[in-house]
Formats: sequence, C-alpha cells, structure tokens
Amino acid sequence: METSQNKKSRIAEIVIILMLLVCVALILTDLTINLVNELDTGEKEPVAIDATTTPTPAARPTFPPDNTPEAIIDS
Amino acid sequence: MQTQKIDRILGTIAIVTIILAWIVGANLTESDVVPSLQEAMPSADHFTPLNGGYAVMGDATENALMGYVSIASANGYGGPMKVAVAVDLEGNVLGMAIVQHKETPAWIQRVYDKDYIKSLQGKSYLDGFQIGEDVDGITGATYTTRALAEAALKGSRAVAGEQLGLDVPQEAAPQIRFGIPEITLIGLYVVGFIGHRGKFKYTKQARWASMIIGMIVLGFIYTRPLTISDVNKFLLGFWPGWQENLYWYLLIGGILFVFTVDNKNPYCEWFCPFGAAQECMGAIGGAKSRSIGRSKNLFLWVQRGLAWLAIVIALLFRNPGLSSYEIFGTLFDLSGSALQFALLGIVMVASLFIRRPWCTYLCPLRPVTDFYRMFRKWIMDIGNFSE
Repeated sequence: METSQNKKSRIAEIVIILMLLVCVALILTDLTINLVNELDTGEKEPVAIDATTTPTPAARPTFPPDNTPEAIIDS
Repeated sequence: MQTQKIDRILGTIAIVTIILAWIVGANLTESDVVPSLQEAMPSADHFTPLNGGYAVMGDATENALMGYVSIASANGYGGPMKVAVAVDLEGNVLGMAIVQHKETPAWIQRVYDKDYIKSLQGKSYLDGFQIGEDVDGITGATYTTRALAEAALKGSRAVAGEQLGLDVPQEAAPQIRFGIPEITLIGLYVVGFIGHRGKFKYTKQARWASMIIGMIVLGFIYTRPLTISDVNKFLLGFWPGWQENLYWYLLIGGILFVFTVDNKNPYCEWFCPFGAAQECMGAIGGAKSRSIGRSKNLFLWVQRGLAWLAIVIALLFRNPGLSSYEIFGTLFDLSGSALQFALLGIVMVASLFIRRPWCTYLCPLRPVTDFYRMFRKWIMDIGNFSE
C-alpha cells in the first residue's frame, strides 16, 4: 500500500515537473518573440527631408492664397 | 543561515544587474522621428523641419504647403508615447503615426488591428478628444487609446496655435478618476486588514468574499490586476499623473505600505483576481498543495530567474510591458498570443488539482515580494529593529 502511495506521489511529481517545464518553455518562447518583434522595426519608406535644418526666412513655407494669416515663426 | 547568506548574495547580484540594465537602457538612443513622418502623411512629397515639428509639402514647389506634423507625447499604460500628428491648414488631423511606445504588445496590436488611428482622422483642434464622448475607445486597450487621443489633441492644438495662429481652447485641468475600481480596491484593503486580525472569527469567509469580488470587479470587469509591468513602470520612473491614475497609486502604494509596516502581502492571498480564479478551479477539482520533492528549490530559482529576466528586459528597452508574461489579460480580457492561451489552458487545468500553481511556481510577483521581504528583514537586522 505504501509502495503504491509512493508510486502515485512520484507520478504526480513527474507530471507536475513536466507541466512546469512546458510552461517555462512557453514563457521563454513568448518573451523571445516579443523581443524579436521589438528589435525588428521593419523597413519604412525613405522620407524626403529638406537639407536645411534651420529654416531661413526665405525658405519659410508660404500659405496658399486663401487669406490664411502667415504663421509667425521665431528663427 | 547558509541559505539566507546565499539569498542575500544573489539578491545583491540581481539588484546590481537591474541597476546596470536601467543605466544601459537610459542611454540607448530613442527612436528616430523621421521614418514616421511619411506614415503620418503618406501623400506628402517632402518635409521641412520647423521649430521642433515639420512643414508638410505636397510637391517640390514652396507654395504647396499641405499642413504640419507635430511630435506630441502622451502617457500610455506603459509610459510616454511619442506620436507624429499631421494636421492640415485648418487644424484638422490628417494622419498619425506612433514613433515610440511602451505598451504591452497585445494591446498595441489590438489598436493596429482595429485601425484605431483612422478614427482620429478628420478631428479638429477644437474637439475635446475625450474617450466615450467624441472619440471611441477600444475595450482592453483603454490607456493606449486614451494616449493616442491625447497625442492627437496636443499635436493638433500645437499646430493650430503655433503655426496657424488660431485661437486654441485652454487645456482642461486633469480630472480625478475615482470610480468603482478605486472604491473596490480600498474596500478590499479594508476587508483584508480586518479579516486577518487574529480575533476576527470569519477570516475564511472574508477571504473568499474578497477574492470573488477581486476576481469579478478587478479581473473580469475592469481587468486591473497587478502585473510585473506595474513594477517595471515604478522602477523606470514612468509614474503617471495621479489624478487620472489614482488606481495605480492606490494599488502600488497600498501594497508597499502594508508590506513595510506589517510584513504582510495584502494582495496575493486576499484579492489577486488570477489567484482567486485558480482557487475557484481548485474548489471544483479538490486542489491540494502538491510536493515536487527536490525539484522545489530548482523551480524556485527558475521562477526568480524569469522575474529577473522580465525586469532586466523591461529596463533595457525602457518598455514596462514588453516582458510581461502573465496571462491575466488572456483570461480576463481574452487577449493574447496563441502561446499565452496555451499557457492559460495548462495553468487552469492544473489549478483543478494543484493549489495556485501559477502563484507557486511561475508568477513573477512572488520573487519580487520575496525580495522585498528579504530586503526589509536585512534592514531590520542591520538597524536592530524589532517587528
């Protein structure tokens, strides 16, 4: 009887350990996928930016002719 | 004593590596804004940098000004979110692109899947951008959608005021959010405080009532369990405005307070929604605490290792939700990856026979609370304080 009880306990232990190993594997896989997605930002289309980084008054964009007031931008 | 010494050494190593991860993460370069400009304004030909934002040009001639792109920042669930907001010459939102975010992957994916950003197009700088009023939200991604709406508001008003010279409404003062989740949380703390007093006769009933209420209200209805993301947010310093996030301060602050003063964990055993769900399953299946023999210590360190890894990754990438592997949202919100659903299935079935298997072997919060307990005892020993 005692041997049978020990056997049952041992089987239960093994089942729990296997279950935990599967769970840990799932967690680590999920973490890895999240990390890979985070690092892989994907290729975006190249964006055309004007070479001048500090806009001069001459290069200031103008509004279309619809009476919209000109924006006052400090240089 | 030997075990305590090893615990303290390993705890110190963990702290040092976490601090190093924080420092490295803080020095990593932030995402470049430029690639997001075209995403925010696909019909643009080119962009001209202008006072922290960009003028959007429709073709190569100067007169073809279409609008402006403003880079706005708002607080999402995980921390600051940077958004490129394209606005036309009348102050209407033309498009948006998320430059950088700290949201849990499942939640941000939900926002993309529902094409939420398109719902903000056409909104005016005069609109309120309030979720539930003039703007829709997404169930299960409330904080993320709120942040996007706030970014659209800030971006459109920045352009309207600074570039277009329009009269911009004054920013409303943040409203204090104090509703059912906050009241429930305070109530649960009170029940826990009374319930675990030595002389209280109905501790078992109070505990079950507390767990069921926690599971239903904080779990299924509002999906606000404590997660490792909250710990990471705290460590990263992404502390949100208290008025709109009172719940977060009550949760973290309350647990820290009770732990420090009483060395008791009010949350895990009394109202953790996921713990309660496991105990309900256990009540059905007759769950017991099961021994795993000599492997117990090994799995204790596996649990601690996973928690440490989750914290280090979050600090390195400055994203509290990136490494959150809990399956609470999967159960209460039915959102998550296939792997998370598989994990949830295994844990729920195991809960029928094993008492709280997630809490005992996998939850990242247990090592955090264990560490805090160890640290508190260390300080008490050094200062010769008594309990």
